Amino acid sequence: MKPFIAFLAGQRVFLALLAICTAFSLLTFESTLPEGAAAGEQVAHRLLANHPEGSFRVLLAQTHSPEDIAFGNRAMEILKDRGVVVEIAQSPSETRDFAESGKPFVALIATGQAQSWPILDRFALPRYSPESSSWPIFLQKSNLLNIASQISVIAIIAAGMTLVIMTGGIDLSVGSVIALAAVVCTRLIRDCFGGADAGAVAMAFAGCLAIGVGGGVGWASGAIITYCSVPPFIATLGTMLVASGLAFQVSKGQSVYQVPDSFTWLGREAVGGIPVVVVVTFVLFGIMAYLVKATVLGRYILATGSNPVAAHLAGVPVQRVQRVVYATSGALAALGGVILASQLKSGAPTYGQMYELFVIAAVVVGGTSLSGGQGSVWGTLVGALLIGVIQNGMNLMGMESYTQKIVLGLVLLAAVLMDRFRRS
Amino acid sequence: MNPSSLLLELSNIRKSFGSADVLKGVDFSLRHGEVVGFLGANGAGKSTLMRILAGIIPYDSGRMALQGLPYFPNSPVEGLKAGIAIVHQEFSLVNTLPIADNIFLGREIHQWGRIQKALQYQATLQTFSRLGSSLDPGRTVSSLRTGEKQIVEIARALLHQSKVLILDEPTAALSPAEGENLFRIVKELSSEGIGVVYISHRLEEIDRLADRVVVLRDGKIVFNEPKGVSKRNNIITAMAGREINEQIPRPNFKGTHNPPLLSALGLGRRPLIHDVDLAIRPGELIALTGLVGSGRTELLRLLSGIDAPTSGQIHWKGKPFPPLGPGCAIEQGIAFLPEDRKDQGLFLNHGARSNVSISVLDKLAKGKGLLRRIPARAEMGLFTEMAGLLGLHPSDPNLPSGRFSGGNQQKLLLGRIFASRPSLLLLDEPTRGVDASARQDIYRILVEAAAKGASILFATSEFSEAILLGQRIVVMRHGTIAADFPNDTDLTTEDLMQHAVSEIR
Repeated sequence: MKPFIAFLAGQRVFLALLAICTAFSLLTFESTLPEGAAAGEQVAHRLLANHPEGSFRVLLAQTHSPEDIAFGNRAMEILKDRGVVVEIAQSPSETRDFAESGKPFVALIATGQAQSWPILDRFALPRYSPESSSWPIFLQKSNLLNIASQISVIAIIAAGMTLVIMTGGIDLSVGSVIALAAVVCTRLIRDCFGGADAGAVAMAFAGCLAIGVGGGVGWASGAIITYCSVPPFIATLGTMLVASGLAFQVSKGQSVYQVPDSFTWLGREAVGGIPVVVVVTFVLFGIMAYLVKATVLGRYILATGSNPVAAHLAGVPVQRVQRVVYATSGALAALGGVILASQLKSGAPTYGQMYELFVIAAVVVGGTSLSGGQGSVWGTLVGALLIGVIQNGMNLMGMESYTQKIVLGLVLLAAVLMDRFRRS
Repeated sequence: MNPSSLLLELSNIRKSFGSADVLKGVDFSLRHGEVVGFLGANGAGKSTLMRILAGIIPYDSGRMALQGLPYFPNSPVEGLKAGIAIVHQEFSLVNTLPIADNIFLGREIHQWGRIQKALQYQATLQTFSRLGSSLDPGRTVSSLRTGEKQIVEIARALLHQSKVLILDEPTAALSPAEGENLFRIVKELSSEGIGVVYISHRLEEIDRLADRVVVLRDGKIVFNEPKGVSKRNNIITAMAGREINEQIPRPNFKGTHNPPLLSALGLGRRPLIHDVDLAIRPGELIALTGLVGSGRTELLRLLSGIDAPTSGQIHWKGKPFPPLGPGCAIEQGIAFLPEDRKDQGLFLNHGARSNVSISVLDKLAKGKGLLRRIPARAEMGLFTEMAGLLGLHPSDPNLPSGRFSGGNQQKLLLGRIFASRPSLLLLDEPTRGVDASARQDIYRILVEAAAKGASILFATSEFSEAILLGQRIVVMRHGTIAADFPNDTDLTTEDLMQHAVSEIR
């Protein structure tokens, strides 16, 4: 964690991330009405503060929406303790009935959604509604968690890609490996481990097998690159097509969705308020950063990328390092595929299309040089966050997806240009 | 055309790269139809002068005139248009295109945007017949032999109506028969009035072809005599120059009768190395010298296990040497210092410490696994030790190696080598591009290492350095060992030059 913070302090990408977060916070700054239980609690307390005597009758206007029901339940709970009689009107017509019944209401409570019913004006009573507050949508907890879950797949795969790019290579097959791993994992669960009744251990085993398949595809790329001296771009273009074809064959071109509900634990659940995927991502980045910084392998990776001829002459097993790195990239892409399948509760051969581009963009934006030999694992995490945040912010602002593509492309180019300027 | 009139005239041409003065006022002239044999030891400034002539690089000061008119080319194309053509050692042909297309590359004959292939073919054919060659202009360049490619290059120069033809080491890669054909062509062209600058290390060729011999040394013309007057020995003396006035306390080698650490028998690797017999004994400091292209680097790479031999055998500590990679060789105690430290040695953007430790990470981590942790303290200790041993300046472990001076970059690489505690050091040009004081440091380090029992074989293109430092001197010529003798008599650089040039293959 300490190196992570030290790294952040010296990073331009991180500053860019902060700037963009601030910009989106300001741009999505909107007055919102509190909803749900919290709002009900707030309104009930305000009412009691003005009528401390208790034991009176109020009318509560609410819609059928879950938020409003939560609102009503919570408000009623508090008010009943103080002997307040709460009558509930769940539609404008019910409200009219109450207005005409002539019951002695002391006050009127309306949820945010019910507040605009014209019928409420028939009551000459003090009205209690949630007070609107101003808070950026972007910074709402639900949105931030949403970003974290969304980028975790890209970030995990980008961790492997960082190693590949540090050796001066590239891995285009990760998108296809996502799909392959997703269908292998879900098919194993469906056909070998009992489908919707599969147990946790069986599912974990299926996930590990899928990761093994992904690692195998990556190792194959590495073997083609090293044993046959094929440029990484071409070799992984080949394995990309093969893996994608295999994904369609394994799934017979269909989605596989006969998996237990608990399969979504990995992708959707949270431990102690933090989504599992976020925990996985951080643990993984910690391991990767240690690997690059402190181990023999990390040093060999950087040496290979910096000057392969010199590395070879200095005794670095350059080819073995390359195979290890591509296998790692494949395995992590497969892990990403399993997580994606868990998030979507199904596996389909169309998953992961174009992901390789986002992943490469995250690595490059994070400051790892495409010419190899230099880079930072934590930078990749920040790069993935930056891309996730930009996408999310544009979605919140209602930008068209075409425009979003243009913006992402420009961000990538800007990152590469910055890299050039830093060097010269 | 007046045959005695000056075709090309250079006066007081100067050129420096950074702080290094490469050309220090060169005066040179060439007449119509004259063949000038142009000589100079490695690094004398020949290529720089020729590149200036061809317009590839600009000169700092001086004056050039072509047929009496000022000549200052800004690009190779301008040089070519003015009439100066250079045929480099490495050819600049597009291998996948036919000969005729290559010759007309960049100035195709065309009409309405359509290339007139037939016309180009005819013109090429005519030029070839002028050169006495029967090559078919429709053949693809990749199918040609080296000598034929050279003819294509010359034909291309002629089609530009070149007045001056510069041939840079033209016979280096030719068979004797191809060489003969080239000599005929050169004579033919000179009789047509073309001035030829013939650069070569081979005195026999110069004797046969040149009307005049010019020697460049340390950026100046030191010898300029018509043929006949110029005696071979005078030329060699002019090329070699005086010896460096520096002394290194070099202890004599006493272990001549010990069994060799490494011995090579009939060692060869096609096409550059053949029939090398060599024995290196423990504690011996040997200089390996010879002219450019004589095979020094290739021999070192064979001995260090980087390249596998195609013939012969190497014995290491009395046992046959399996074909190994560099990693294995380092483990066995054989260390190799590449000639080009930027391309083959350093990780320029990495810190000094990781540049030094890269070959011994296994040892530092006390095991072979890739996932082992590098102990930071042990690595730092190694760096401090090497920096102290070599006098590295600055001894900053985190400074990227690209930011060190040339001499200190070399020390970093020597540090990497010494870190692996080798028993045999194979060093390719350890003092190239190194300033005088770092050079002294490196000499001292090597002498000390040899005194402590390490065997050192270092390649150098400077004969004076070989004499200064080597207890034994091995001279290579045309891919094999031409001479191998102890450095105990009063050797001069001329003696070495004699061994290095000698006769045509």
